[in-house]
Amino acid sequence: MSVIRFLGCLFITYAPLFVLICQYVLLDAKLLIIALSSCFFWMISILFTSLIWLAVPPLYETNIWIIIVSFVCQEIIRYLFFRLLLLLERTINYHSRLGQRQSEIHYIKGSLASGLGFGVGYVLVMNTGLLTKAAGPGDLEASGCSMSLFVLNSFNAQIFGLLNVAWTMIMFIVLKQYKYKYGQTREKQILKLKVIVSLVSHFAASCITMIDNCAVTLTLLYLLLICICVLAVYITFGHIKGKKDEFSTIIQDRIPLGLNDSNSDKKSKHENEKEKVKEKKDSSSSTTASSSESN
Amino acid sequence: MDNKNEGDEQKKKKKHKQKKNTNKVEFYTHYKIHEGKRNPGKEDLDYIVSVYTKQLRKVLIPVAVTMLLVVLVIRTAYKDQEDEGAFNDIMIYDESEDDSAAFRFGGALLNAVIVIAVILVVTVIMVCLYMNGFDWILVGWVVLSVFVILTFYGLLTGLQIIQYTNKSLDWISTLIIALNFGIAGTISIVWKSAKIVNQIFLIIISVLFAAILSTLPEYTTWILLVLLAIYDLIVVLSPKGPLKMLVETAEKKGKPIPGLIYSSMVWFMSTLDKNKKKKKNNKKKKKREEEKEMKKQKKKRKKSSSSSVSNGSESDDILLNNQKINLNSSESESESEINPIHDSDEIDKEETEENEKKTTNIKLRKKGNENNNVKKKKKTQRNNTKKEKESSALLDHSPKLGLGDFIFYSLLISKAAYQDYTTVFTCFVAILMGLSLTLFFLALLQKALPALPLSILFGIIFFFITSNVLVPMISLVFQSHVFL
Repeated sequence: MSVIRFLGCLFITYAPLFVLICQYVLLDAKLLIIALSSCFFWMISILFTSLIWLAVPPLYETNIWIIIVSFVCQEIIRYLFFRLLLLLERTINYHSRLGQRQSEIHYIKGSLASGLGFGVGYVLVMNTGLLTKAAGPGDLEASGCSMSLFVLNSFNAQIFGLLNVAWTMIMFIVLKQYKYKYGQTREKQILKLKVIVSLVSHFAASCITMIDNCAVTLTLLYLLLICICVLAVYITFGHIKGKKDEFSTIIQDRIPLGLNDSNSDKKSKHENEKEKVKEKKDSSSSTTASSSESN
Repeated sequence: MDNKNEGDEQKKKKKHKQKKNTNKVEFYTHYKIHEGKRNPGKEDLDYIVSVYTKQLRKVLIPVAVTMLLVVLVIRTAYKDQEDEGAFNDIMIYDESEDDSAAFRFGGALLNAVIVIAVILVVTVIMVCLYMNGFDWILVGWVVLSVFVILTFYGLLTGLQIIQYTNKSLDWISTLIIALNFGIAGTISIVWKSAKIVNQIFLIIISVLFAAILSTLPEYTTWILLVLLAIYDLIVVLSPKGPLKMLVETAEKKGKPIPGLIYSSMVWFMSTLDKNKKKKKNNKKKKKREEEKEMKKQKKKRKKSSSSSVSNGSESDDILLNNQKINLNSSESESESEINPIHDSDEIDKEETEENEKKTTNIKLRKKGNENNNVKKKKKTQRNNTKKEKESSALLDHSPKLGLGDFIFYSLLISKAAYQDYTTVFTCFVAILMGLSLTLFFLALLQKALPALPLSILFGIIFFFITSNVLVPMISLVFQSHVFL
């Protein structure tokens, strides 16, 4: 019975993240490293909050202060990680050849990987304590709820894992687009709004968990998750429709979406070869056309 | 005249660019279309990064597997055995909770210093033996140590697992199984075997050894880890050390090294002495490499599109090859080394084997980089000839990590396993991050680097903070089912 409960909780927490990891991170090595490093950085943030908790205990009789401190630390670390990724990408591209931009961290996939890292780190730290106890005998009741605490915790962890992914994707993609909008204040404001929405949702999500009634918390959290995921999806795919031209002028290349590529490393070389072959064909066809015309 | 002016202008532009670019990195918009590299002196970072990323996975997976296995073993078999192991009789200072913290600290320091001194002494002895031609002693030592570990410690853990799972097994079958296990392990490590079997046995050795070392008392383990990291740094990065002496002697002799000798009694056997070819990042070898490049370019070789193909075929077989633990009479300590080699070019049989076995050394084959710069940065594969196939199976495409690294990482994790699963995962992530960073620096610097210090630093910091601060905080927060 307890083993079943343990397995159930395990799969509830880790299934969506596991799917995303298997689809993207395990196939590409760069994304694996990005995910690992983001996990590391998230753990630094939570350790930092714990140190602050150690230093200032009397404030934390109510949970709200821990939530604020952890929220602040996590978001700071997220932003710092974004800056680090940007810096890495630029240095690699600077020191590389022009024709081969293999090091371009397709920023959508990169943001997804970093989000997965944050999510997995979050879930590991928060959920393993109760998950290991779920395998043992006995049961803990959540206050104000008929559900066992283990199951409630696992549902919350699932939601928060996915929310972390969405928050990081929103923040990274928005901040990357932010720089290229020179002198377009309204669009910049909209972008700022999106980031602020994600931050507010983070704070709201952690505050919602303070509510005693678990049905309310779960429904609210799932609604929040749906909204934030819709926003993230809109941000990733929205720029395809309307704003292709802007990016193409700035980046003299196709848009580095990377959504269709399974192995970005291999494909670039094949693409180069195909391009060369196409160029030869075009040149040959043009010569044949000119020769036919002359004749 | 016009050409000269253009050349001067280009030079000025380049200087101007370099001056500009020292301050900040340019954006995409400032790219100017010109052929060739921006910094012709340096190697392409993107290639290095791509190589590094592909190699990293092959190193991370065994480390992760060993650590998880150690956690399993300790959670099942060694639960009640903390601070009760066999090594406690050897230690000069018996730790007990009655003594004060300062006294314990001093005693633990003494223990750790003695261990490292023993390591040093044995390393020197081994270097002398090797230099004077007594290779067979080292080979025999390796065989003995591997056999002992696999049979007796494997038997011990197996029996404890049986006890934990409440099964039963008669003494005849246990004897047969243990002996077979030990003999198969020694054969796989010393002689030929399938690469997966070899890797599995090496992982098992490191797991057993780490599980045994985890029974050391608390203070001694932490101080030992710290001192080992420092020792690793010093020995690897010092200009005059036993490592370099071994390398030079190996070069002079021109023979393949039967076992690599290092101060911490870690050494590695080459499974196939003749075919093993490992190159070191030495200046003397560059000339030889260049000559060989010319010869090899004449031969027709297939070029692999990416290292993923070659890694899939050849990386695993070489990854943990030729690595063994050497047991000392009193202590069994081991250190490890990472040797990344990412060129699959043929190496002559006359070439000596690399001192990959040097513990805590990370080396990157420079030939690979040179070749790759010449040949459009593509890895080359072996030809279809038999020799090349045999040697190709032994060539290194992926970085090599010494067993000592495995053991000390898993020792740290074992200490975490005695506490909590959250500490286990945090230390896990910290160690993997440290390892990946060291490999990154290795790819950049292309020098021998120690593998232990960074990851142990991260691991220790994370361990102490999580076990003492984070776990209480989260347990307190979860009482009101709040998520941070």
